[in-house]
Amino acid sequence: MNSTGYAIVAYMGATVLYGLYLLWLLAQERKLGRSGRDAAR
Amino acid sequence: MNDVKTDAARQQPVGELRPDAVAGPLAGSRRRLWGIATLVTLPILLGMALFWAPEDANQGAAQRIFYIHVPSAWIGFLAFFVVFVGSIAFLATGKRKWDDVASSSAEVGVVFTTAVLVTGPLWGRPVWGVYWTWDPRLTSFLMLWLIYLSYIVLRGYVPEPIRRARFSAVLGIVGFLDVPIVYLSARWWRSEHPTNFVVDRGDLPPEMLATLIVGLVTFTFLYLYLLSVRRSIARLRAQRELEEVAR
Repeated sequence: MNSTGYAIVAYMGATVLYGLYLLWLLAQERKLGRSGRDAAR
Repeated sequence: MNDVKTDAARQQPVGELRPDAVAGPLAGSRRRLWGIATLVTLPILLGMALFWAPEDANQGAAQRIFYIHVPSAWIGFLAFFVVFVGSIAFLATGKRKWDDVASSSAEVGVVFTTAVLVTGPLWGRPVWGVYWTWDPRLTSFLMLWLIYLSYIVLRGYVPEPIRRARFSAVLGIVGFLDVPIVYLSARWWRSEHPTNFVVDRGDLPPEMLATLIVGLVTFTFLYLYLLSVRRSIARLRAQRELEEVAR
């Protein structure tokens, strides 16, 4: 792999890492919010 | 800690650990602001980093990794500084808000420092010829990542909220001592890692410096957005814990 390839992999890796973490956070928030509403009923 | 103290602590937190109510409209609007600011600045950063900034004559395209690697590291340090401040504030006041701030910032900081540990070796391989070397900067940074990873693991193993907050606050304060060691390691010891040249020598070409600054701004917005989402989760968890105690 040449220098450009390493740069592409680094940018893609960082995007996947931050993106997956954000999706995981939003899913957790939704799940906790839903269980709270269910408990309140 | 014996059972009597644990029970006493369990009695105390119901009032003391009451979450600072549900996030108000101000927190929601701030969160939206950080999210929009990230969405606006991110494409600008990518355009500048990948197309506008000049290519380094020696390192080639791999040098462009610098524009995400360095901001991730600096924002990781910022996140751990927030853990340090939040931990001191929790131990001083006993308010759950500070434990939420510290624990949320620790988790987000671990994500940023993980990005550093992913992008660094991808720069090292084409430039140094190896993905990893036990260099003082790299080793102290790996230790920093492990300290805050253990902070998260510790929180998972202590179910009682007050003890969890106290134990992790101590680790959050002690762990921060590694941040200045990481920063100064390249000066203190013989290190392969580039020194803090922006601060030390100020010889970065203007286009590269501008791109780095945009990177820092973008990653600061991203940190603030992730922190606001993570704090919202901490508040929801606190409400669940209070509901369980009330049952």
